[in-house]
Amino acid sequence: MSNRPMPKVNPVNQAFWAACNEGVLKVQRCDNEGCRKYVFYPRVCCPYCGCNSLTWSEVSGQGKVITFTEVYRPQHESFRSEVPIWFVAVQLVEGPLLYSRLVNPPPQTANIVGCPVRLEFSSAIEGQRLPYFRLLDR
Amino acid sequence: MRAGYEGVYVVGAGQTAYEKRTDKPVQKVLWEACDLALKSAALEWQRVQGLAATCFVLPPDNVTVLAEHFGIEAKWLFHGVYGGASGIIGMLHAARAIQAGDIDVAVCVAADVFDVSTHNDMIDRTFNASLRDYMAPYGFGGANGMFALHTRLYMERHGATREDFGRLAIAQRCNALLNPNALFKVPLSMDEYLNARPIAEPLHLFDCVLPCCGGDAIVLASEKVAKQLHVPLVQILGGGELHNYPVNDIYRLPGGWDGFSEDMYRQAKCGPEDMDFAQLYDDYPVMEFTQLEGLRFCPPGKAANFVQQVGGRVGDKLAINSGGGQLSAGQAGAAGGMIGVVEAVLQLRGEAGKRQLNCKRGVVVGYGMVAYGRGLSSSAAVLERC
Repeated sequence: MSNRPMPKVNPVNQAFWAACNEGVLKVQRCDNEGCRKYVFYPRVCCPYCGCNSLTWSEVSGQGKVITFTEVYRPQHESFRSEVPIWFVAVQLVEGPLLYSRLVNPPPQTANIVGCPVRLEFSSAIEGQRLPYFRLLDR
Repeated sequence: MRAGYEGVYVVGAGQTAYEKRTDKPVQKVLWEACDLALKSAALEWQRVQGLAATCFVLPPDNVTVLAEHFGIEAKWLFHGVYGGASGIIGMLHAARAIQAGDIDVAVCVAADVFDVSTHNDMIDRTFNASLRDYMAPYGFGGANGMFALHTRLYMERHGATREDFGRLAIAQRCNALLNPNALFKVPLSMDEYLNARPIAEPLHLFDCVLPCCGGDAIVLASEKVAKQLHVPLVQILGGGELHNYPVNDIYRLPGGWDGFSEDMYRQAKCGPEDMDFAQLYDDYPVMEFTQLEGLRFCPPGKAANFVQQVGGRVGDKLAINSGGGQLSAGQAGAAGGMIGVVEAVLQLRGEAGKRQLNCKRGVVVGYGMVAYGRGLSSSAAVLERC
């Protein structure tokens, strides 16, 4: 085993990671009529209104890059053969912010802030697919 | 208005040597820092009634077990769980316990025995669940990757350049050369800064701290005890802490100082223009920019101009991290949250050696507990020589 950092599946996030393995991106959405916000990362309550009724709901996988970095020194040796890793903060059109990485690195000098991206799952890594993103043409 | 911190004094400060590696157990480094601080306060260990400790590698032990280890019968304990914000928060909470009459003497210590791999492993596995589950699996680069995202965004929003951040790193390196405890012993040029190897763009080597081993501590005492000590006294004019601010908004601004600095200055009855130094939390230069703005030294987005104007070196218009800070002295894990406090107290006591400033008061800043996309905890305090 590579001892690669992997998410720890627990009752709070089980639905998220199970859906990823089925190729579906699901995030929680608040059921409170006055709120209805999408919530990520997975919680036991809505951090916007405090209610405890959240429903897993499929989202589009469309978003844009808020900020990005090319990582040359990953924090774990299991990533070393993959550098530079294009690590991105993606805002989904539904609102939540997801951290992820790009499957198609742009030229190294590119500034991709604001660029549109589309969800594309990784192949299984130690039995878990991760939501990655593909950079689309501007 | 919130009550001030009258009747409480910082009566001692101590810092161990910073080392790249050590064979010492962390309890030993914690003890050495406390012992140095108590000696500078002219107080015996037997007088200690309260202990605040912050240390990433202490688990499975905690401050309670540490009190037993040191032989302190404690009436007050504080275990720092706010990362680099803990040093100042522990000091402020200890001051409240002293004001309330619960205790007369407290030691606040932060130390770690750290290196790059210990740091990374902690970030990947044990720091908190949101980092572990939703950032680490993407090879995010640890804290460097996270703050590369902040640095990029700051540059986008405010037009700052790598040279702007470099100017601050270089000024702090000049200060470190005057500090025998600092790990970095040679000057840094702009060329070296700009052409250093990339870590996580736009961050290169000298934007990142060097994890190391060391400890920092201060001693607080009630007026009754302090006035009998015949040591220079420092008082806390104001302070504050804020967590998860702004709520549910990672990228409006990275840090909470904007949310409490006005209140802190009102409590301190002075403003940023009255500060003789700023000991900022310099895990990354971009966070120092954010602190200068949040603490109202300059308007939002104008920190690059401000640093250019004030210089930052000892002897310049405003000294920033007069001992070199974490960027040039080293980041001994949790001690990063106390290094600025100790530097401030040494400066105010007139015990800063070659880097001594002509100073009466200054601001110290803490920041920590990186979680999903940002550090959750911010703290600051204004200290003044009596």
